[in-house]
Amino acid sequence: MTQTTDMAPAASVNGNGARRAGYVIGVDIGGTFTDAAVVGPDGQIVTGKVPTRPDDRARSFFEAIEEAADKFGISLETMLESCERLVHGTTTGTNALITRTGADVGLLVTAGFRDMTTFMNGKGRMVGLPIDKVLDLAGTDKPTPLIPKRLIAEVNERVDFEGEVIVPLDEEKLRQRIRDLREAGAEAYAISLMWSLRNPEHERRVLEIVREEHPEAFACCGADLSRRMGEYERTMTSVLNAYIGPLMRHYVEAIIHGARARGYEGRVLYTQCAGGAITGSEAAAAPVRTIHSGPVSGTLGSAFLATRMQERNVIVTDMGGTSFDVSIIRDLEPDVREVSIVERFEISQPMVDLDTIGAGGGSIAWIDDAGGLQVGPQSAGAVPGPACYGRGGVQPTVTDADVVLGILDADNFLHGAMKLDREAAEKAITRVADPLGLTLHQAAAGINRIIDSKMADLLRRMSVLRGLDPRDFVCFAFGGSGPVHAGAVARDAGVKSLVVPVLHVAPVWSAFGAAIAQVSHVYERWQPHTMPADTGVLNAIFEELEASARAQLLDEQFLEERILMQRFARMKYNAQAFDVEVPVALGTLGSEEVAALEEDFHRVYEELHGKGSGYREGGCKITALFVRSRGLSDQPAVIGGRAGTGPQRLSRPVYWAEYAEFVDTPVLRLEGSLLDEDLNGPMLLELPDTVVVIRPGQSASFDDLGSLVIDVKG
Amino acid sequence: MAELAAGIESCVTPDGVIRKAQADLEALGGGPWDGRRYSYIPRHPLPVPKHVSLHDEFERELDPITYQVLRSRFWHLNLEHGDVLVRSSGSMVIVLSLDFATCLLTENGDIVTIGPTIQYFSAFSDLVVKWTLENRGNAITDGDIFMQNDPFVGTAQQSDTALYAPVFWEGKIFCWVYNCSHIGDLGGVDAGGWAINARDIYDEGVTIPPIKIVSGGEIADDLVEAFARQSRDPRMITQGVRSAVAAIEATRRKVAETLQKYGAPTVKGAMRRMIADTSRVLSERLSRIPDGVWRERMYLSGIVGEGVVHQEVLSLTKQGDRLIISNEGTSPQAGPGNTTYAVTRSAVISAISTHLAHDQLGCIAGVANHVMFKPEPATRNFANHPAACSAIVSAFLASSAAGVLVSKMILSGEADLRAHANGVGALGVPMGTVAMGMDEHGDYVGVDAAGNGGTALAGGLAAFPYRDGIDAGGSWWLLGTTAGNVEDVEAAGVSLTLYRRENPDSGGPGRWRGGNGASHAIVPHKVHMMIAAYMYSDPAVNTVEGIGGGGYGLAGNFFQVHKARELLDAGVVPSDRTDLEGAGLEMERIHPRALVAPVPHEDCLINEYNGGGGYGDPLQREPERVRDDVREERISAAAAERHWGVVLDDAGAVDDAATQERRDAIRTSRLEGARRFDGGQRRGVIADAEILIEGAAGGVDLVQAEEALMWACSSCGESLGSAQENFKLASCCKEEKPNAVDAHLYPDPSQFGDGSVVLRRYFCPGCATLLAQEFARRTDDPLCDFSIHSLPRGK
Repeated sequence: MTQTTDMAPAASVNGNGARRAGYVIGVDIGGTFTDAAVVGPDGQIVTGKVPTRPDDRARSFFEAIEEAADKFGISLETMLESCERLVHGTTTGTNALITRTGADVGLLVTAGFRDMTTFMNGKGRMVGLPIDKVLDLAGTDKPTPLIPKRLIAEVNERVDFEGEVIVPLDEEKLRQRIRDLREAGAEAYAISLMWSLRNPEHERRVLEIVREEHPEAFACCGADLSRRMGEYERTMTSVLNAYIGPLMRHYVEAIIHGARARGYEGRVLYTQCAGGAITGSEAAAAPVRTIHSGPVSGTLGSAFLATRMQERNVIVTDMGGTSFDVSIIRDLEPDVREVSIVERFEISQPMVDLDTIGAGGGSIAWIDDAGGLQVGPQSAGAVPGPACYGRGGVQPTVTDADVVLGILDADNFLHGAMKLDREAAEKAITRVADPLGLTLHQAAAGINRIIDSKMADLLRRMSVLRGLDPRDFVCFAFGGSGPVHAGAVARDAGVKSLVVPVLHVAPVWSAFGAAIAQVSHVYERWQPHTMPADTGVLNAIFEELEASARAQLLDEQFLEERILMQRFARMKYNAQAFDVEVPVALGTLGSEEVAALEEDFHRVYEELHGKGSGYREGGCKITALFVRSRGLSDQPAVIGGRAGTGPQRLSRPVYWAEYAEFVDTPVLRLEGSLLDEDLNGPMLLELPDTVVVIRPGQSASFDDLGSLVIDVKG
Repeated sequence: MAELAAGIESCVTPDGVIRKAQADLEALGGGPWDGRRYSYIPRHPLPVPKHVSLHDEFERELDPITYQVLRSRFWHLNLEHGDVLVRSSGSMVIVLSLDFATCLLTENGDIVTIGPTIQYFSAFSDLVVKWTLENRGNAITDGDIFMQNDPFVGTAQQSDTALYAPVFWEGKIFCWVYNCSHIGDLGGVDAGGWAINARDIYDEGVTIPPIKIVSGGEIADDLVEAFARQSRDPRMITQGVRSAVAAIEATRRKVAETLQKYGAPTVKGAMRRMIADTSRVLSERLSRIPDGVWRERMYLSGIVGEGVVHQEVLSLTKQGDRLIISNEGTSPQAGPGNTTYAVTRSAVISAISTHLAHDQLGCIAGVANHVMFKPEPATRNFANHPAACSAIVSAFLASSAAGVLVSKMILSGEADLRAHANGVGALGVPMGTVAMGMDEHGDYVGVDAAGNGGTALAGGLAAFPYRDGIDAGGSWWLLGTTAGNVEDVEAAGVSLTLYRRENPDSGGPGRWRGGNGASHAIVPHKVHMMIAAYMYSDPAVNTVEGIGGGGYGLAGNFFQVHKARELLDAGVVPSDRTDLEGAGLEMERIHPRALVAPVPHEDCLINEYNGGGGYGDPLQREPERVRDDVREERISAAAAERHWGVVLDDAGAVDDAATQERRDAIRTSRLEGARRFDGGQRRGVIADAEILIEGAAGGVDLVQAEEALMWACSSCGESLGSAQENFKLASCCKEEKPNAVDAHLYPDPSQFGDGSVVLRRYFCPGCATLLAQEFARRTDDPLCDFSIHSLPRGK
């Protein structure tokens, strides 16, 4: 592990209550904007939003905080000096992957498995692509490999499924292979051997030898990142980790040094894609855990708010310019998947389960070969962007449709921050309206209906995949385009109600999610136990996992009483393929507890997959045991809204599909203030960063946390 | 609301109502084609019993937006249907290899959409539903679910069992939901479901025509038990049926919700419009392909009698937007693994859907009725009862053949259509390989079918006219399948994998390279006994065809290596076949009918699965691409020289001079000793030829000279005769033993198959460009793959 650089003296460390009543800061660096959300000592939240500097993301980090500090009327340094906690969600690693600007990784694998990263278990053509592309064989291909063949070397060794060494490690050959890789240009190393989850000794020894042969290089082992069965995903986890390792190590240090230089005494935490936060030292050693942590933070913030609202089940939606992300909160916890897809590679890294489709403000409308109207998944992106941006875009987009319908005010977009070209939008929409024989406004409303129903289809499939009924869920909507379209999507998908979370914070919701993230770790042991399992074995494994988890949190300066442990088992029916997660009681397990575990398993399986879906007669087994540990920090008090001038009450004609005509519609232009009144659709709420659409027949009101709750039934 | 528009030629009305039968039963003779002795072919109109009430009204004036919303909904309903099936399934082949299909059909059994999984499973669901309406119509009530696995009604093998149900609305049948999945062993002479020793259907697992398994919402437990009782693994079968019932019930509910929300006439209107749209799109695309005849011939060896080669032939005649399929020339039905009308038809239709209508969300009905069938019954690919079908080899072969047949046709079309043409991909050689563990009591303790079979599914995807195939990329008819992890396979406690690789040099050479297939080697590990079950046609009689002159891919190799375990004991992991060969161990090819056999503990099995076919003449590939292939170890330097004529220097860079020299030498050698089947002489370049379709037969252009349509070499303009005739006859042909061309790629067919099988390569007499290749028996005439009769519209 890389040595920590962010450990502050125990007395000043957050999380143990040593420092109270400070600022809690969350920062989310995205591809376009860097957002900050700061919870003040009184629970008030302010935000900052600055453009991301691609060449100096660390600078953007502090600029965003500074903008928020301004709103509190204090300097950046003053805010950081009295900062209780600073948490960062970043796409820096993701970005290096997308732009393919990571390190040249040397990969060491067990002899016989050198083709693993290109073989991709035989499904590389389709991984990470929309399923309706599956029939287009000529138009789809595997992703370009991250590592060329010359940088992949085989290690003569073999361990079997029980962890027994079948062929010992040939160290002499290994040294030569490492020298060859170094000679061939390896800057970082990933080591991933067969069955290292059962017996990591060979991997550990290979790591030692890599360190001897190439001491300054970043290196990591598969088993240190994942103990899950499945060599391909574990290997890709180590490859991605090494690929972004050198860069992330540098970046993490830059943030930490920057924060310290500006007076921050605590440590900087990083949100992780599985939920929760990790320390800088872990982020530097296992940067793969920070991948996608930006969008995931939005789900974490939603889970926090869901707890406050006592809404146990939430569908979380985030709609920006190009994509629509959906995640699920069930029983107050985000759904996590064990194998995730990153840039079309599968990795064995638990990650909040975000499904995404190409649907956003920039989605392009087009006519297919059958003469039908289609919207997306292609996007006009930021450049040229929608036609109405006047940056040379001519193709009609969802945002253009919103302008034509009067939902977005061309003359006063984002409180006047930007002027939109209404004529260009109309011209663009005409391109699809004319061939379809529709009026301009019918076509624009049609574009919205199609994109909205695509999003609703995804919502339904996300819930159906889990055996859930969307009618039991509240939907949260944020992101720049989210509140514009959520009313229609939520109604179509049939959810209970719609919430735009803490209205003035919604546009930087992921940064807020980072701010409230708690330090958490997962220790796991993938090993099958046929039920009823041997209690002695189970107890021994849990004790070992918990001892490791406790040691890590103590090392991270958490006091014993601030450490929380939870146990889980993954279990499946012998005759079926899918395993599910079941909570396990703490303490020493006896045969009664094991019997209760089996009963819980039957119950959870039926809840997820439907009554009678499990084949009980065939018996069941445990596939893995988990311990999730948390280092608890005090959560900030959050109060809704903030002081501001009252809303400006305006009106303008807006085309509503429900009426098939323009109707003069009330428009409330507001900053962040709460309104103590019932808002009845049709109505638009214009905020500096987005527009909330309350559709005809829908009604809305603010709750005491400042969230807008919309009754979508209509 | 709707009425049939009369007098229009199209096979589907503008409202999406099917107009015609797919076969002229009068002209066919034989029969009755009722799914009993002869395969079921529905008549038109379908003779539905009077009692059956079909909800067939529909809205013709749909607003375009509602239509798109519903189209997306149908697709998602069907995907969700598959999700439920996978989630509740107990079968690893369903979960990993997605060995199932889901469909949504109209009230009268027209297929609105199929899911993106195993293609040929889906495209016979219409036959199954129509048979049920015709034969069980009076007994259909709300809440029923039917089950069937009769190949003569519509399935590939008995293990591929369908469950399907009507969705009632306002007391009438509104539509049908259907799934078909590989449910497992159902008895019969051989364990596992592929009865390789079957003489006829009576040696196979239980076959049942449509029966009602759920009646008015009540599952018939007695029937389920009677069915499962036939199996060696009744638990698996019971769970499979339950899972399929759960998936049907869930989907039926969701269809009802959609009807509730949009109203039945609107929903049906969207279904009918989808069919009409797909038909219209297909018509437009077919209009950009000339009329003519395309043919495909493949051979099957080593399974039906020792050394005997059977041939399966398909031809496609295109007249406007109609396609007529014939199997004339196919060998008579015999032995195990025949296939029926349902599968061959489904293979052809889903090939057309994938290659020409991939953007139409699997709307099969819009495709199906452009195709007419002229089946010659009692043959390997249109078998009659009681032919044995469960060993499935001809079903696989029909899929491979149909894909190449359709690819040849679109090769003759405009460039955007041609882009989707490709040769044979994964499972291009019919096969199944399984390793099972057995304990000291003789009980099966673990099966790594998902791993072994899965690796087969990860064969190479063939090359296209404008790009390479995909290494371990699958094939057009196996979508979304996966080989899984080796650790998952090893966890079953049967075997240890010595290596799993993308097999270099296994893709067909060509201007564009066919994808490499996978290979792996296993030794028995920590198991009392490992039993291997092998079933395949002899890969030396190669069916992994390329197109446009592209090479055949490696069809597969199966070896048993004696005493391989000794290497491990000596501390060496053999990491590819070369390591095993280099150790001087005894290695033997496994016979295609090796059946079920224990593998000695110290031995190793090597399975090399097929690569994909190539496209075009390899000498036309840019040397830099060949260099990159060598650098990334996709091909060897030796193959680069042999097939592509590219010579690399010690640093791995292209040696331009040596490459030029090598390529010249290959061209010269091509014509040496070559013969012409027509016995004629060089015709020379056609004067004043106008190129009508560039590359209409791969490396051959369709040109006009005076009034005649002619073939001409794309590279040099050499005349290759009338476009109605076989251009191979006017080409220079080299006929050789396949192993003489490349012993690594093409093993000797005389070992297990038919020694008369040769590889013919056809070259342009003018410039020696490689124009076509075919595996054939020496006594067979060159196949006329392309015969163009008239130009596409507007030319």
